[in-house]
Amino acid sequence: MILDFGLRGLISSIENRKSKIENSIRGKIMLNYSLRRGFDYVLFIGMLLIIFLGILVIYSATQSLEGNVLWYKQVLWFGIGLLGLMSTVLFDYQLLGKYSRIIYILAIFLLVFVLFGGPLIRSARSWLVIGSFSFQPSEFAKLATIIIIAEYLSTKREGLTTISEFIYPTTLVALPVLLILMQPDLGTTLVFLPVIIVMLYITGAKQVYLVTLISISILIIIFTLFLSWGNVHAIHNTSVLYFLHTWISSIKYSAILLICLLGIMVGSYYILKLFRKNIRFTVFGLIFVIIAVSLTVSLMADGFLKDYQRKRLVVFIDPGIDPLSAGYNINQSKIAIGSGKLVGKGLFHGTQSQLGFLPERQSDFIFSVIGEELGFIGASILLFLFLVIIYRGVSIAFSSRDTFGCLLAAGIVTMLAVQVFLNVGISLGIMPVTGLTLPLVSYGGSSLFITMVSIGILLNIRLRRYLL
Amino acid sequence: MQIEPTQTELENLRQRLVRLTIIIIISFMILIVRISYLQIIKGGYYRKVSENNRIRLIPITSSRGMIYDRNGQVLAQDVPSFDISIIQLGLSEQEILQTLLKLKKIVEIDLEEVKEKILAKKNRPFEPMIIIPDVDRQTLTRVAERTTELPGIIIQVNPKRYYPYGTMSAHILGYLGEISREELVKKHAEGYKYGDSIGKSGIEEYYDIFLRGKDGGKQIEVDARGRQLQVLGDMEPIPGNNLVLTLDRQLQEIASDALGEKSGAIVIMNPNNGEILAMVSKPSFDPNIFLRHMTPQQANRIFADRRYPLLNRGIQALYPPGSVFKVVVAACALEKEIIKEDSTHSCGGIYWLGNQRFICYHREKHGDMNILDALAHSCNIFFYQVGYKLGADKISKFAMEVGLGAKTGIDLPSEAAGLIPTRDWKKKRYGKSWYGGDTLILSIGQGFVLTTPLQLAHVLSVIVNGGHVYTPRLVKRMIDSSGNIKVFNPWVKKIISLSQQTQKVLFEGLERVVINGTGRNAYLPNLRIAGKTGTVQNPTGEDHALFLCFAPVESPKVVISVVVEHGGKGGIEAVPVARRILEQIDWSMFKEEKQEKEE
Repeated sequence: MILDFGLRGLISSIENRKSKIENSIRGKIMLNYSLRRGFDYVLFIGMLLIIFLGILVIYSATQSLEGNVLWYKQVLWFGIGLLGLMSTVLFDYQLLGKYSRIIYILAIFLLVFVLFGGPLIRSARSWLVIGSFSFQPSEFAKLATIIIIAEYLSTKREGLTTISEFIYPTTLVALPVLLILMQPDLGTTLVFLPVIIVMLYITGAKQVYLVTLISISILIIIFTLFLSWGNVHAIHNTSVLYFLHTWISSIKYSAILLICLLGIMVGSYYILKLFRKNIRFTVFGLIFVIIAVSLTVSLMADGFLKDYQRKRLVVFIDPGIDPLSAGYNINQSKIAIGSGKLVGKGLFHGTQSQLGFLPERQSDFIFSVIGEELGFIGASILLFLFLVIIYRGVSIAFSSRDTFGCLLAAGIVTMLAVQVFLNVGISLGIMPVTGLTLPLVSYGGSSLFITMVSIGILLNIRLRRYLL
Repeated sequence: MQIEPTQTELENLRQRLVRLTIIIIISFMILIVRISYLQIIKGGYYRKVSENNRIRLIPITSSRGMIYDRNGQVLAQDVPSFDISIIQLGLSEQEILQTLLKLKKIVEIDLEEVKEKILAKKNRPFEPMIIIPDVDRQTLTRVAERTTELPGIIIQVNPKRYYPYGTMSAHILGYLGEISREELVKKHAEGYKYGDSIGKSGIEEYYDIFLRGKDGGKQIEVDARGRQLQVLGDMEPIPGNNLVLTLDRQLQEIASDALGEKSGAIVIMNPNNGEILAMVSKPSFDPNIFLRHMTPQQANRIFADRRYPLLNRGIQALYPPGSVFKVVVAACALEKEIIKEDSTHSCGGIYWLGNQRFICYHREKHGDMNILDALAHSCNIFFYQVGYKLGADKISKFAMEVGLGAKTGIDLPSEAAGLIPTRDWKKKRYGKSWYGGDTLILSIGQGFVLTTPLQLAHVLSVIVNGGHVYTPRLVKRMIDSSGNIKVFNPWVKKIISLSQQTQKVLFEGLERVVINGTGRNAYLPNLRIAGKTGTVQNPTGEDHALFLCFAPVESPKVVISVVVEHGGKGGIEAVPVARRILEQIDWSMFKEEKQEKEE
């Protein structure tokens, strides 16, 4: 693995430099040195390039709209984001750890507030609107959750060993996930799961916890998909799926189902014991908990989802269900990307985007516009730029002087990577449509602002890697 | 308070970070692979799809060719029909429903049916959908006055096929209908497409490919809502070819009136070139009701009628020829010299073949008679004897030679072939050998023999014109949209040998039929007519009455074949029909023909 060697080389060079600096005088001189030499220009310029490309494509995608003010708004948000980034860089990131609880509670408060006080925009309550200024608390909650979990996990020196140490961070994630699910916004919640798993993994959680979390995540996705499938069929009122859905989704029957499951677990444990197979009871308990938790979450998710969201999900496994609306989007996106071929139709000349065949072309499906107008070359350059940012992020996590910084950076990098992967995957038709923006590129102030602030935190960690 | 992590801790942390990076890079690789698949491998395909998305072809229907009779009178043409249609574009379901409710107050519509139709066309909202086809002027003005209150409703002018003479020549012209799934599968390569009108019978079906023009179209660029942005290309439609038929509208009308309300068929053809001058089949139907505006009751009346009005009896109904067949037997016998003009056979009313008894018609005793009298009085026993002498093989062979037992090849679809029985055929069909009795029955045209009225006229034409087997035909000329004329010349399929002597004897015998024989009801003082009657027993009811004749005898111009179903005796029912036609026939059309030829 060349990459592996590269990183190892990096590690040793950092190691050497660090020990050298440790021997030298610490203090203010170091800060100046660090600020001059430590600013990660590659990360910063990579981010700027992606944002500029995004503004250009937003301009192209919305030029046929009346007024065409979106790109202008995005530039404004970029300015605000730049301010946010700079002020994030100024103070020591350790302060974030110190105030992580307050930040987290603020985020939860905003999520609760938006559920009750937020306006209904596109049949979801995800927006805080003050005057002409609107903000998505879920974006803020993502960052807040990463901060508090990084803070908590950094105190666990030997990795996670006890159940309570595992359950605490899980609960910290579960709370915003549920609140965001109630908006309902499936896409954002899906970002949380990989982020917590990665952060736990990096801390060195016991494998059994990771396996549990991963199984729960996968099962939630599978169960939600199938429950939605049944629900969509319920509208058509035909087939076995309809019957299964009504059966499972009633609480009474799902309780019976779980009890039966428990019975089977206990029964099979004793039967296996009878044959002198040495199996620990906790394994069965764990499997039961995994299924019970994921089924419960899926049932809740299914309850919160709107019909159009269910359909968008279900088209992924059953493309025939609604070819005109739900299937339409993904089809048009594939056509847009595919028709771009190698060099694209040229900026401002994509027929799919300019003539309105592509839905949500300035936000969720902006990657399709890039694919159509800039072709394979444009799409690859964008993905390469993202990889550069992610690579810088990972090396910042590497070079961090403490576990908190390392976990924080890893969390932010994972968040970015997951969002890019899901959004592009949806545009390419290899992921179910959940509704998710492409960070730094999609139109949307809160997403851009929070992502820039997150990158500010990365720059901050980099700057202060030699300080204590 | 943060504590500085130990070296091993950092080492472990970093190892896991490396693994994370690898996973991220792999997932990005997956994306790149997928992007290359869509853009590089399937790029061409998706480029085409995106073009199809944006470019739409708006068809412009071409007009269908007109059909004229031989004198240039219009038999079928396109006329404008005013249809009330709706364009769903930009309307919500609620708005459409409101419009329909308002429309219902003005015109009678089936709301449920219309809603269903609209729903089915939801994915093509830019195409107008016809709600009420072909409205009358009164309704049209009432709707037109209120179009501002009816969003989405437009009045469309579409061509409609119109047959001015309605039932009169319905079977020959045929009618139009929407192309069916099976037809589409078969004719897709010829440029037919879903929703096209296509000829469903008669000339409209047989010459459909010539009558239909080439649809034009407008290539326009549209946005996702289907709004037209710009015209990219334009192609004018090419109108279909006009057809001039051999049919004479006046004669057709005369024949139609002569048959009256009875079921049956009349075929009038020119024996000298195979042109069909008139072809009547009763009961008939009105082809005007077929395209688009047929009520279920009308459809039911036509399709469920036990008298089969859609059947073109002239070419599709099979009748045993009965005594009319004696013309063929006589011609065969004379040609093979089994009998001569003056050779006589005796009729005692009863003819014995072994222990089988065959009787003459109504047990009449005709006594000694020659061929002329035998034809005139339609003596069965004379023909039993002649037929028996000839043998079945010779009769069958001759009958087939003059054109029986096979399609005549007329330019109409679904022609019936008829049947001339042979030894082999009987063996194959029934597994029995041919008996002497079969020969006797064959020689008076009963038993297995089946012919269409057209075939009978065709056979007589061959005998009358001295052995020229012309293919009967209905189209004289075809004129394309730029005025080029294609003339359909008479086509001689083959020439059979028929001596003048045979012809002379037959002419005399057949004229006697009209002068003092079974066909004397057809006698006209100033026109020499020759013919043969036939009465065919049939198990379902009264006998069918047949009459086959030509006139004038000195230089034959027309051959007329008349079948009156359940008419009783041919001499009483079918003969007067022919006489009424011959009385009114306008002989001047044949003079013109001659002039035309000379020119």
